[in-house]
Amino acid sequence: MMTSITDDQHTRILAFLDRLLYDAQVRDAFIEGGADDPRVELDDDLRDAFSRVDLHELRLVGKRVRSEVLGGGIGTGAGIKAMFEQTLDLFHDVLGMSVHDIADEFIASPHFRSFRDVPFSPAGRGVMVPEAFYAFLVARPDLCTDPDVEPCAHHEAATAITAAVATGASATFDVALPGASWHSGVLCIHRHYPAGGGSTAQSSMYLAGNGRCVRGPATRETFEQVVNCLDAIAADENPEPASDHRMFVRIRQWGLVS
Amino acid sequence: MKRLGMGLGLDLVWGERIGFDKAGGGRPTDQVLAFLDRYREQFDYMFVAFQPIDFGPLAAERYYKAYDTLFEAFGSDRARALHQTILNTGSAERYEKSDIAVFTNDLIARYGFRWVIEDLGIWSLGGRSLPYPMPPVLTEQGLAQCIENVSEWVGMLDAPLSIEFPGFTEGGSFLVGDLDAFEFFGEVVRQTGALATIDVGHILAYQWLLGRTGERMYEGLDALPLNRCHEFHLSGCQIVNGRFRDLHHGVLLDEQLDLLTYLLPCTTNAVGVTYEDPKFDPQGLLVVKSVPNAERLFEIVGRWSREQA
Repeated sequence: MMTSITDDQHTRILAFLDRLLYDAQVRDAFIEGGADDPRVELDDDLRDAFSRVDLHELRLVGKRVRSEVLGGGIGTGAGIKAMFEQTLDLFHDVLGMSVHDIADEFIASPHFRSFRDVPFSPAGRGVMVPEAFYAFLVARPDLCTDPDVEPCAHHEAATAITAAVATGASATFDVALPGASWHSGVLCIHRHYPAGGGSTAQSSMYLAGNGRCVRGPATRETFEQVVNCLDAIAADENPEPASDHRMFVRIRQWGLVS
Repeated sequence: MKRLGMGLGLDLVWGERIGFDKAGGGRPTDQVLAFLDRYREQFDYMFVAFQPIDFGPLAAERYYKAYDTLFEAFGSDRARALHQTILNTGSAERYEKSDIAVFTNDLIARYGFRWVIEDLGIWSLGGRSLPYPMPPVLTEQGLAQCIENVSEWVGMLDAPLSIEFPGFTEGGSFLVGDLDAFEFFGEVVRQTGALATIDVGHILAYQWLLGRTGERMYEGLDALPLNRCHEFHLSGCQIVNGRFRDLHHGVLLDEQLDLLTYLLPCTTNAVGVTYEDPKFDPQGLLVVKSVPNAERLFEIVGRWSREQA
């Protein structure tokens, strides 16, 4: 049937399809100038494969992808617009960047590729959108010129990730956020946020497991008590000393372990 | 398989009014139950389209309570099928299948699904879900990959797999590759032994995309695997600015009924015609705008069923 397509061509077709779907600059250039536009960098031998792309549909696809990343509909949670409300406000205030511009850059980045809501592809398991978005931000010093941006983004990412893990999302996603670890099936994140910009220093703890999540200010010492107790539970040991025992009771009350 | 007649297809999203409630371990909403109470006798079989509750474990028992209630409301001894949404049959990549096969077979074992349907589409790329499933990559290599995928699924599932001609121009899909989609689909069906589901709206969307409108909508249909057609699907469609949209809003177009009427005599092995995603109010009544052509559909299918009886 028609012309032969080699494995190598097939791989490159998929790679270009990926760019059309997720890279707004390539997509816009394709819509403006077609497959011959030098900005799209489409190999000559692939042009036939993309000769029937309906440009109206392509434009809609791009809008829908961005809309789902911003407003929810892909992955966990309500989308980065709601999950990173404070961080995005900072971008707008400090850099004057629109939410759409940031979303387009994020979706085109390799960090968005680490988001995978279907764990069965050859790429294997991936992370959630909020974690991918946080990784995208910290890899871009030009976006984190305000000292408040990174801590704010970490807090919002940790909040979104623990909310999702509480609904069982760890069955689908890995969690690799800095400071995250698992103890007795509970996701544990602690972070000391230094004073910066208009905010004061604060340490916070984020825990999720067994359908519950617990978040709030906590010293590193308290967090380590929590982790020790969870490890003791995993090892079926009674925690010592007495202070740990009180934490043990509290963890049970929080419902983080069954 | 014996001819069944008129089918009902429901895509029940968790948390929506026409969907499942998560509360109490899961159940169809009262709106869905009201609809089934009114109309179930007008249908001869039903399928439910799989929608995941969340990103938690892919375990069949998490769905038992909701599906038990749904099928009991339809009639526990009546024919039913499963419309899967996670087989990714049109994928241009090699996805791991075993977990999904176990999950699907557990559902087949519990509910006795007569067949499993899945669009021959790309539902995700590189592990990321697409806003709307895209048609497969219409190249020789894309065809080979689809044949491999579907063949594997045919062998892994404990019920016959019927692959559905994919949707086009949904505001979320476009053509990649230059093979004819009807020929491509026919080739996959012939090479894999899968059954074929023909969604009449999907066929028309492809025809419209190629400029085959009006009387030209009958062109090229010979390439479809009509002798393997197991089931037809019709869901609410609309022509917007000259584009054919498969909106699933319950209102069928005259063109869909005309094409169904044309295709039905061309098939000898079809078991049924499914009205997919009817829309209804909280009392379970079909939305008024959908009633005239829904009634026409029932008449067409009723006549077809009687002819063969």
